Amino acid sequence: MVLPIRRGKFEMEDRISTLPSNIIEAILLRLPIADAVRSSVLSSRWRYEWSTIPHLIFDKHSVPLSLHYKLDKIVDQVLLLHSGPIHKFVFDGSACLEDCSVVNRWITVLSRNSLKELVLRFCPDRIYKLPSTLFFCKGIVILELHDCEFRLPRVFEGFGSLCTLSLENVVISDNDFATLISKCSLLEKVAFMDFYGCSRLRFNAPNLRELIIDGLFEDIYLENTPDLAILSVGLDDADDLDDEGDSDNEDLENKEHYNFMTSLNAVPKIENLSLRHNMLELLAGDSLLDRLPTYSYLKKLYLTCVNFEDTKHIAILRCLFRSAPVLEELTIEADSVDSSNPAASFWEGKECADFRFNHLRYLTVTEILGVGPEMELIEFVLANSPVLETLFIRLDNDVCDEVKIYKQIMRFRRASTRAEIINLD
Amino acid sequence: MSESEMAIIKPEAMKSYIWLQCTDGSIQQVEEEVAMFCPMICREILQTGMGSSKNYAISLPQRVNPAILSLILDYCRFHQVPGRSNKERKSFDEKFIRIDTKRLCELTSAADSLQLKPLVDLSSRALARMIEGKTPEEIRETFHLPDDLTEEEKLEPLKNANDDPRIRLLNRLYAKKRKELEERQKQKDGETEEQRKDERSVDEILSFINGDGDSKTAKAAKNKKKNRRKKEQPKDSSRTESDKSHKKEVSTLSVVRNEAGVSYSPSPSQISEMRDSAEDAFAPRDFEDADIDDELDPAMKEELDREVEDFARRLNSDWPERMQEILSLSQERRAVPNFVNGNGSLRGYTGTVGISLRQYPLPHPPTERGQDRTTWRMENVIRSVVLLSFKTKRTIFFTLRKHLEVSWLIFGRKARL
Repeated sequence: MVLPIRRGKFEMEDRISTLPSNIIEAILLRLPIADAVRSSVLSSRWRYEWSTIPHLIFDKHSVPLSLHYKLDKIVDQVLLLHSGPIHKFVFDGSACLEDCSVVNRWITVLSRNSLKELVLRFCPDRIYKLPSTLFFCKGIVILELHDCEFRLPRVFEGFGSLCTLSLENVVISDNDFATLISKCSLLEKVAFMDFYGCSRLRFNAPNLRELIIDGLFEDIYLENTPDLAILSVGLDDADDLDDEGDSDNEDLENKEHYNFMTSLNAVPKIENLSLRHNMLELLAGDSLLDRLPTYSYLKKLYLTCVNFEDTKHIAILRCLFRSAPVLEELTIEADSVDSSNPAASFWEGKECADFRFNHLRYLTVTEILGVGPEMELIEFVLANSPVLETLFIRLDNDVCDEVKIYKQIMRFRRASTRAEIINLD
Repeated sequence: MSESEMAIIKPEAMKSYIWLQCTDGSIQQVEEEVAMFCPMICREILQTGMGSSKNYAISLPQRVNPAILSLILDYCRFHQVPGRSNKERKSFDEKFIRIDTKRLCELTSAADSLQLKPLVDLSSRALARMIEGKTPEEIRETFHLPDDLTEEEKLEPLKNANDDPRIRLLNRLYAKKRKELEERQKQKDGETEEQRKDERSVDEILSFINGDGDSKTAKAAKNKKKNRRKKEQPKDSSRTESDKSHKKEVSTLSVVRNEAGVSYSPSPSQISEMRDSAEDAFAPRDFEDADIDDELDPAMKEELDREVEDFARRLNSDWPERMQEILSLSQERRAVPNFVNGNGSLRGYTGTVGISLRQYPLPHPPTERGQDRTTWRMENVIRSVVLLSFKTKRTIFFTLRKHLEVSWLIFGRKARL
């Protein structure tokens, strides 16, 4: 391309329009959609440049708030005037959208335009029924849906290229979910949070590497996820409705958790395990916990709501520590309340510990109340982790005698000369 | 390969250089590791073996000139050092990108031809930041873009943008109102002339308002075209033309008021017309062109919408009728004031705005400051008109009289007092 010759100091040349189209597209892509569309009035060169940008993002950041009330009309017009493939479409209709059915039109258009990434968000109270045209978008790679309702068509061939699936506040049935996961063979990352309509989750995804589940479920069955590296599960508190059924379902619980236990056996390559909220409660009812396999890659362990006053929780902790010989980072959020199985000590019934922390570098214990098992664990870790670098602690707000606990912790012998104790505030 | 032989025998202290040649013939030498940071040069060296000596310099693509080349090499020199932290790199990038737009464009172009992707990303991000949030005029000014789209072309993408039904309705209303006004004025010819001063000033403010609605300077160009066509028509009836034009403005405004909530017509810049020796009448067709609020960017239109609503709300329902009276009074006498051409600012204008506001009750009570009602009203009127003028970068002249001190307030892009 010939550079325009400078004609003189006072006659400035238009340099930006001489840039090649791919650069102009790169510039337009970095602008919020409103500015990109408005560039069409700049000059003749810019008139249609915007109409081929492959990313259309209509969310709170890209569209000025003053225009949000007619966001649907804006999207209509942009889609009408756009030409060429649309690879990414983001729409955040949480501000206003009264009638979500306009989105059906857009999805039809998008499905014809080799859509690769789709993000939809609506009002949490107004669930959007996904149209069947969505399920025929073959090329989708990233799918993120909020506030939607799934109804898979009878003949669903799956999203052949789907790599990342993120669902939040969705309504989907057990079977639909299982079908969805199993038909997307390239699925690598799944985030599934706040779901309704399904309680027994099954994952048949041979390429799955990352799985985040947060919601109310009865069971998780990882039937075919050999390469899973990151698993983060959080079981929400059951609503009040379920309280009555708790005592009746004890047998049922055992049977259900059988699947989760089997799942834990089936993920040998796991590197990062998080068990949050009531997961320990769920596991506590399981007698098969002793048979946890050894995870030779497990480096990070994150546990919350650990009740140090409960024997079962402590038993689970010991099992997990035993199965993670190469653990490097351990984070425990304590939640010690009086329980029906009070634990006197961390080492109940065992002469010595059957696990080591030979690789542990970082230990974080928060919401410490100073109960016996807590202190014993901290003592043990400090005394037996030769490469420990930092111990982060934070005391619970209800602790009355903080100084006593600090004094206790200060006394503990440390195996690692580099270990430091830092108080998180 | 002489290069590889040299690599074997050279002492450690000796650096190897690569020779690069730009299209204008100038040859530059640069350290090897710096040049290798650039994928295109790297590929050239490895595939063709060029660049080892002055005679075999690597010829760079056309888009790379020597000044930009040294800039790019600075960039490569910094970033090819492996030990730098991300923070350092980021701050270097931030400083690096602070160059004028011309060089930034050249840099982007050159980086693209050399396939230096991080630099392309960096500079296109900088260019995007320069474009973001600005009005089209500002962008054209920054990058010296030619304003070569016709009005229709400008409207085309935005025409469908949001207000089709409103535009159509507005057009119909404008046409209707115009016809009504014409009839009424014919009837009311020759009424009292006491408020001659008022009329003219009202005209002025209307014209300015209508002119101010024009957010695109190029609209003036289009309207100039139309005006010139009209000019060829009877020139002696220029006065009647301008009369008519004023009437149309009135009708515009009245309709606007009726349609409060719709941005008003950006009729051709009255100033430019009057600059053309005040003989041009803006084409009444402008209203019908369905262009009324289409030239405005959607975002700007929103703001203007609001401003107009504000302003329109302050005028009461018999404003149009009053305007017609006022206008019809001085039909003969409406000599357009002599304006001195002055780059968009009108000097020596002696019109006055004597809007007696008593009859325009405003919906909101006065503020707690305890101002007298008229003052408050006047302030609000002026405030909205001033905002309009700022938005549309036109000049407005005001004279306040009666209850307020007589003062000239001049607003606009080139504010002078």
